[in-house]
Amino acid sequence: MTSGRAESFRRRAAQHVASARCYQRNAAALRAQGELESAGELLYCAAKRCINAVAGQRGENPVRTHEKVRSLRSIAARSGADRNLTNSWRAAARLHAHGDQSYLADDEFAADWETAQAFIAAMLDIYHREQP
Amino acid sequence: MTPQEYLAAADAALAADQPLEASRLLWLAAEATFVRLAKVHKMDSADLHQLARALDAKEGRTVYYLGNLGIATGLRHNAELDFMEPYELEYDHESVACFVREQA
Repeated sequence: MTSGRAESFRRRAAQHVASARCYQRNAAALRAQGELESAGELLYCAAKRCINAVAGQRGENPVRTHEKVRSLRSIAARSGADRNLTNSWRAAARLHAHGDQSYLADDEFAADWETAQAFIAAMLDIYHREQP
Repeated sequence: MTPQEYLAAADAALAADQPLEASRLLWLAAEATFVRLAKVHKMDSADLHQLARALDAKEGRTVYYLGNLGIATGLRHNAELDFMEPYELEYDHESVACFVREQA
């Protein structure tokens, strides 16, 4: 990858963080209105943007979902996070699947919501700790 | 069956290319682990989400138990709905195996 592209991804990282927070706020508002499937989808989008934010700091730009997952594993290993970080990403992915399949019971949705929120908080913490 | 026995049966199901049966067995491995944890900690296992939250609070952990329960719950649903991609099932299989071993 050229250093110019890497620098562009680093600059874009801050935009990913802003988008993640926007998605997160809108997800909470939708959940408060009882629009759970849409809320879950937006929280998943927030979680994906968090991966791109931290990856962007490293000059990377994971596009496809499997590339984001690979980036996340690398981020978890580098930041000293244990399996908990990648496990909590799976909660966001289940919220995404719920938007399509509508399979989570209310208590399961609440648990995955809480876990996905913890994922976003952990990723934003990593982002801020790794700020140049 | 013990959690380890469920895990071994899930491994065998995966080896036999039966991902939905493996998903069901992985759920049972995790569920049996939580029931055992409830006994050890003298907690109620009727509501596994409440149990997971109580265990996280007791040990000062952030969504460790809740996250592992979520993975197991996803597998239970996958056994019925078959919505997981192979790489997702592979990851969740590894996670349940790690969790069961950590809590053995």
